Amino acid sequence: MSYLNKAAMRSKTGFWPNNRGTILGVAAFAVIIAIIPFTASSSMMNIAVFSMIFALPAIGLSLLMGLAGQVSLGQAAFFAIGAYTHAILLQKFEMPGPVAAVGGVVAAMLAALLIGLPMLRLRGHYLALATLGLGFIVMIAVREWEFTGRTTGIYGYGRPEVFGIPIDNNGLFFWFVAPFVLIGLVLALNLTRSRAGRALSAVNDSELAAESLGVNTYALRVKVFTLSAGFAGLGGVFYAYQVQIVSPQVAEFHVSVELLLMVVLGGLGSVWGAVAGAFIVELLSEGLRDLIPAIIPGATGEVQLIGYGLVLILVIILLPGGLYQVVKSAWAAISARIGTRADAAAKPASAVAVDDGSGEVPTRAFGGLPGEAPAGAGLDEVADAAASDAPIPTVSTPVAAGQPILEVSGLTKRYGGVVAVDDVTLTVPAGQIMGLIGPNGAGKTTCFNMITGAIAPTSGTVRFLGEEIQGKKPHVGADAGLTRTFQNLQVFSSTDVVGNVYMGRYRKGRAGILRGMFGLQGREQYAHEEIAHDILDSMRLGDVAGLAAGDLPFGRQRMMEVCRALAAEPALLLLDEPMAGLSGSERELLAQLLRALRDAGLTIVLVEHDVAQVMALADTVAVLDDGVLIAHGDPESVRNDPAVIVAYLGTDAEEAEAELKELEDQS
Amino acid sequence: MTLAVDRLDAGYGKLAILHEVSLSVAPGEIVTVVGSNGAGKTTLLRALNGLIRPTAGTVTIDGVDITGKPTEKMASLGLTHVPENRLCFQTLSVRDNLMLGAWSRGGKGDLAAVLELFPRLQPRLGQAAGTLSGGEQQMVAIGRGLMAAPKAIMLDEPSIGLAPKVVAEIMKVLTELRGRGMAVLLVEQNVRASFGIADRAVVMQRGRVVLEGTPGELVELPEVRNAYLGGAAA
Amino acid sequence: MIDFLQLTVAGLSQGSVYALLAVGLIATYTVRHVVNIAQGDYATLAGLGSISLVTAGLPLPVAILIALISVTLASVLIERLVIARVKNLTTLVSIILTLGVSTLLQAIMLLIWGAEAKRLPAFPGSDVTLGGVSIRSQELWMLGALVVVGGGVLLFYEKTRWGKALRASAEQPVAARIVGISPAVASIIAFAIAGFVGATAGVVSSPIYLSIWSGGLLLGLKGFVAAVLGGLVSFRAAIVGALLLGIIESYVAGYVASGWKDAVAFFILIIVLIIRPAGLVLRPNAVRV
Repeated sequence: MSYLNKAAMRSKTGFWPNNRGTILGVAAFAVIIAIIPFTASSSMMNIAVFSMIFALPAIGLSLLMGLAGQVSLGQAAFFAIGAYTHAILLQKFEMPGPVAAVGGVVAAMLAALLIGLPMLRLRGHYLALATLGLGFIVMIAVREWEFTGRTTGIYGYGRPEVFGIPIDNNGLFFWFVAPFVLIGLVLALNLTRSRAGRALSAVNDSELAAESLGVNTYALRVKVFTLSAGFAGLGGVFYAYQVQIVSPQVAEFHVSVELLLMVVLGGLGSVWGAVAGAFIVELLSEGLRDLIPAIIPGATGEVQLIGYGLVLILVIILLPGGLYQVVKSAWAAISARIGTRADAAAKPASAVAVDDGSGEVPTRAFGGLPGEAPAGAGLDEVADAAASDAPIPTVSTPVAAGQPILEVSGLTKRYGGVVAVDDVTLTVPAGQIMGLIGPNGAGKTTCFNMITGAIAPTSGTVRFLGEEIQGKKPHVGADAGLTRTFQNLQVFSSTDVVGNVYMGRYRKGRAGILRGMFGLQGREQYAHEEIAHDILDSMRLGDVAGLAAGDLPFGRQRMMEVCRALAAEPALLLLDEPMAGLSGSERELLAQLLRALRDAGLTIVLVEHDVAQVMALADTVAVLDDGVLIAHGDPESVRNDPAVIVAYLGTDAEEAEAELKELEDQS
Repeated sequence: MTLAVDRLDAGYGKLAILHEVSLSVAPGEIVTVVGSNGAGKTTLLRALNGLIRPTAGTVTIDGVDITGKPTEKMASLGLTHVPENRLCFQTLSVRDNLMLGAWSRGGKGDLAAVLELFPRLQPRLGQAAGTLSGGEQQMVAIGRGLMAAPKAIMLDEPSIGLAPKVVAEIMKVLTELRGRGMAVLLVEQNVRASFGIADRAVVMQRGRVVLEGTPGELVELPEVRNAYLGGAAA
Repeated sequence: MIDFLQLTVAGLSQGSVYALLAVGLIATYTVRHVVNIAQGDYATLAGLGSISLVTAGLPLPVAILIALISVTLASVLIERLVIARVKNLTTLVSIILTLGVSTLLQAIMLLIWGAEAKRLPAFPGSDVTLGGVSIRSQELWMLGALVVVGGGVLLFYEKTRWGKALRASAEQPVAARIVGISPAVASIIAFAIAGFVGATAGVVSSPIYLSIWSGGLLLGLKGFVAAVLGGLVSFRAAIVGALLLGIIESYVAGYVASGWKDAVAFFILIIVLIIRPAGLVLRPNAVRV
């Protein structure tokens, strides 16, 4: 495939930050911001200012929910920490505004780090409840502490000044806060499309697969959580300036609910949605405060809550994707109509839009409209073609052929009283294909999972390249060059095929969250995408690179997973039943590829149910039965081992002998 | 036919797994379904007992259409399922596990008859199911299914992870059930065990039924031998 | 010493309220994997409801009975109208969803009963003094409610056919469906239990601790802290945890400062999660009675 073709495909896949769309959107937003103070009434101006202030913590929360897959019910706590710290630094320590502001943001981030480090090790809902608890602690602390002014709070600090101009009205304040919201928005958008952002959305598709490609989920989540608190802290800083008195009510739980509502309404994980949500919720709140007392005389207090509760419930039940989903579907419908018309003129009948906006196609990783699918026909033909002429993906060979690359010693796994894997010891020499076979329930997959770190062994050691990796998370082994595929497909369904293979490059990339936010990793991402395309081409998947991964037929998804694993340039490739579900020609293609990779120096361990395939492919074969390693050697000797035949046929040794004889007679 | 499946299609979301699967089990018959991993055997059982809704085709029990009925109705319609990995109620006692098997009959099940089939469970009635060995848990799972007094019973890999002796014990119980006129549908990877007792066998590949016949006929076919012994292909 | 015992008694009675709420949270968590943020609002709802009925002239027992039944039905209604409507309800989404329910319930209570705290008349009985420690009769009622209602739920799960079906449903949902237990019915029963225990907690505590529209959230969260101490699956451990929590709160209020009392539970939650996260989650899907 020529470079030109590749470039053309890339522009369609929406792989890259949709720069045009982002720039247009941000520019339009900037124009609106510039105009608002000239046109809005004073009450509307008040709402607009608070919308902007609350947009900051909402952006942070949307990053946490969209990228880290976590919910904070205590976003108000970080907001309050930012506001209090800022106010205290200004009022009690008389620090200059910018310094106090940085102090507020840093304090919020430190608090998040303190909570996030332990909580993000736990699954799912614990962070939500711990942050809820933090919210109450912060509220009670500022209310009870003399230093924070108890119920009165902190007041008596000056208004901000920019170039000597005091920011003393809502219009000016709006312009004061807007650049920060705008920059925050751009940084957040960049982050969602960066290496780290893509890794986190892969984690949300399949945590196991992402970790097996070297993604340290925990570390990334802690960083995103801390960052999200930083956004909240910044919002708090502006809040302190705007209201001129920071009292415990800023930490109230209702504020956290309000922020959550902004994000849920805007669309979980959509940064634009969060900003839109901030404006809508502020308007809703103001409207309800006027409306409800008019309907129900005598209603006072937090009456807007009735709207919050209703909207929250209705959005989750009826509109789980929020406003973002609505806009996206509408946009897809419009552009599909326009696109079809244009295509019909240019090249009739050949192009079919993949996404008709019906919402059934899984959402792609943030941004970018889906590309066009090549016609469905011809896929099988491609698979049937011989792969011998294709270039082989790069493999890394850190160990000389024949030297041990993986040493498993005394590996044991007990579940209660059941011993799934019993004292397995074996060595995998570099540059060979080893087959691991055994009847169902023999402990193959358990063994495999202990080697790759998906589960921790009860006892025993796993040494990869001389390092003990047993009981460590999958990303540890993956980072050292141990990569796996999965028996049950673990496809990243939120991105396209090339996006999946790109994730295989994760361990070869270096860009972190900061570089991602400032958009300083384009070159690296481009290089890796190029490699991903090359690998797909060599595996005859180049033609579907732009399709949503979940839309591929089963066999091709499996091949895509192999591509993804190869993209990591592993030193050891572990394949869990790679042949299952493949057609005859696909099996042949894969077998050829594995042989070629082996000849290029790659070490491969193959767990396979298809004994014939393993025998034909492997240099050595290990047989597990009932968790015990019963045979290990070259295929020929294993095949003739009576113990193996007994294991497979469940007959006694005598019958096995007869069976063996019968087999030999046949061949 | 007690259990009849006619041109069944099923899958997960957009992913179609089963294509026009037809098979039938007569009263007092054991039919075994074999095939490699990913052939669609478990999906077939899930479609039969309503865990996934078939997209086309029908499933009938004694002529009554049960296609797509919710799983929780299947026991009272006469179809029971012994799922893969047993899925015993671990913290409940063996007795409670078995009695819950009779839920669809208002808790009135013939415990004595099940204990007669599985005398090893008798001394363990008061024990939590989770403390039992794998073989005993499989017996609890089968016994639980029988407490519903089904017309047809489907078993998903009952031999998995069990010692040959225990497998033989379980296979013997299945022949016993056949003797009582029950229709038995047995999904097994352990072909040797299932072919030993089955009246008929169905071979599935990539979601389709590709072969059907008596175990005696099928075991001679190279496709079946190769799939399970491997050696002959080299 | 008298002070200490006095605080312990107060803590135990307060803890019994948390215990009942923890029981409700575990009932819905085990069967539905829902962390029900609205659990505490059931208590306030029942408290305010019975206050209105008493004000309207109904005898106290009748008012309480009506409140208990109504809140139980409300909980079932919430299950049917809200919880059951969401496909693929994860625990995380359930938290957001029930937060919406809680917010809605609170707003409705605010509109109906106003912003002031209200008090139900004390239940009949006379205060007891034991070795210098005076125990209010209402505190005995609260402990008694835990023994009767909490114990009743325990017995239900341990001894009855339906209780065992709920445990089966929680532990192996697929196998439970295979034997014919309807997941919808199991879920309805779990929410009925949650509603009933929540309402019980609300009416017995109202004479001492009052009922206010916004009070449920904090109550429910403290119930949750107790439930976490029981690994979210064990009723007994959660009840013990709840009583301990009540006592510790009481000591903090008595010896440190009453304003800090409400923060104690969350310090405990965070510390426990940091120290022993794995030990808390015993078997994610089993009910430990």
